[in-house]
Amino acid sequence: MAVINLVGIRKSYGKRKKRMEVLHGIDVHVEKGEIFGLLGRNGAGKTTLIKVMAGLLIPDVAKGEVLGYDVMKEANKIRASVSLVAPTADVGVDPVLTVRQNLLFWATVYGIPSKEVDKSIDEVMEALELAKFEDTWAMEISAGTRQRLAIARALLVKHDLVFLDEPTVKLDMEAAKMIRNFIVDLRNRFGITFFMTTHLIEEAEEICDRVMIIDNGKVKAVGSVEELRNTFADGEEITIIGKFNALDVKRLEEMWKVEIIRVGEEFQLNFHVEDVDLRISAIIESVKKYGKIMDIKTKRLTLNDIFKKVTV
Amino acid sequence: MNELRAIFSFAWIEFKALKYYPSNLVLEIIKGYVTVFVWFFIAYFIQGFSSDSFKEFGGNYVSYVVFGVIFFQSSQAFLLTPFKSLSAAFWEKRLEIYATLSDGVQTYIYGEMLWNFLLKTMTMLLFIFTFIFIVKVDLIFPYSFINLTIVYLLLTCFSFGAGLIGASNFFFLEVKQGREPFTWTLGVLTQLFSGLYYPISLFPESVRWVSYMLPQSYAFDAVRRIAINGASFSNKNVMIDVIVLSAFAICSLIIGLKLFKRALSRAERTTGFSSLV
Repeated sequence: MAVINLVGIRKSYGKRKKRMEVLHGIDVHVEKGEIFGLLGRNGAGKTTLIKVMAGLLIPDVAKGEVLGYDVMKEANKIRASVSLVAPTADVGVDPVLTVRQNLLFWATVYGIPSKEVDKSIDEVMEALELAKFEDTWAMEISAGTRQRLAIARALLVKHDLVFLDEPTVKLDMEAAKMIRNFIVDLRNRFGITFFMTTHLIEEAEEICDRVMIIDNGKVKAVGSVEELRNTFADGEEITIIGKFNALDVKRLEEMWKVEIIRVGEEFQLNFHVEDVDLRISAIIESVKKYGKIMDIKTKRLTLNDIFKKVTV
Repeated sequence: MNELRAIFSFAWIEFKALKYYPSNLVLEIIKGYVTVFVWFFIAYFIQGFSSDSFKEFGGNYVSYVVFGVIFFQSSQAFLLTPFKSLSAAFWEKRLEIYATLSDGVQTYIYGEMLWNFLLKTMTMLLFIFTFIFIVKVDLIFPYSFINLTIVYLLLTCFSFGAGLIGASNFFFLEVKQGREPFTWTLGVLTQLFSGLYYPISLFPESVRWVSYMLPQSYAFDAVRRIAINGASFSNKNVMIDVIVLSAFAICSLIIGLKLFKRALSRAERTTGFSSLV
């Protein structure tokens, strides 16, 4: 079941001559329970796209629904049915309240029934390891902890769709990992759909079922990391460094598609192959016959490579 | 019911902020006292020269000006609350998060209004008690209390309605910082023409129409007749004041609520609830 199904999103800012189109007909399709990543450089249109999907902006043109609500006519209903975590750590966190008071405030404004408030708060505090800061003023906790509190605020109410705009931007590696685990856990337990932007490509590669890469308001690529790898890969690379005599190197060059670089007394052989896993054993066996292998490296296409490729 | 709880929660946050920084409240009260006392001493100084002009208000300029200034301070605060709250939340990027709640922006503004109403009413009562029981300004009190409360509530309703009209300009005119033209103009005209510091009868006939267009003129007139002369609602002047003020309050609230809703719709279609960066 599609949670987001939008076609031809166009959005521009400004008036008349100064009008600037930010989104140029973007299509988005996200299934229930997916963790969907949005990647793009600064100014690519990521935040505008998130705001459109969260009902905070009505596009100039678009067809389709978010959670079954028409994106052009029912923005207010969309807004009330989704959660949003903004990229700035302090947003939605009141410095003069304690961590628990902050969550209590939001539980009340979200309309969580009084009987369930404590349970909901305890659950998110435990999951995001905020319990030890329960009675600490929000102004006295670190930026990373405030970011966790902002995420806890957004996840306090179990909306079916959560938008995370760079959720781990100010966190250290450990805290970022904790957030990622929590996101995956929530998806697995409650079937919540997450739509997140991130600058950390490794993060998208780790937890996103599918990613979309946009540039200058246009979709450049969309699919799972594996699908993108297949689409954009023009081969992978196996590098072998070893000691060979020049004649043998020539023989290897005739047998394989290989680039040869001489490094002192050693040779570096760069084999271009379709699939590393399929070819590596045969290549090693072949090279072994002609000399001594000192080192082997393989290079597969990463999401980062794909990102660089499509946003050039 | 949920919306009411949410409104109280927004007011509660302001209370917590005040509790965390109590000096803000003390300084605010001192500032209010300074303003009223300045006018008290000016009035005390020129009392003898001006008493003839204030015959219909018991000939007492001190009472006239002290009461006018106290009510003006509150009404001006209510007038500015919606715009100031909206602007603060917008630039602190909180507004966007509030917008993800059902009618969240309105709920937030109502919460801010509620808090300001409670705070300003409390400080106003403090000023009134100070000037009646310590400074001994001539006022008929507490017999006039209920009638005064009704006029105060009508003035508050008008101010909040006008404040919402002003706040709408945040998105209509894209005035996102500094002074908002509608409430600014209303504030200036009130100080000049509403009879706040001097009676309207001092103006030439040709400019008095401006005074009659200002609801504050009716509010201040009613307040003085009730508090200084002890007039009741059956008094012809007070009755007219209250009817006109009620009409202004109802109209400004209806227009304010509608315009504010439209302003939020405009925000959805244009640049949204936060800065783009």
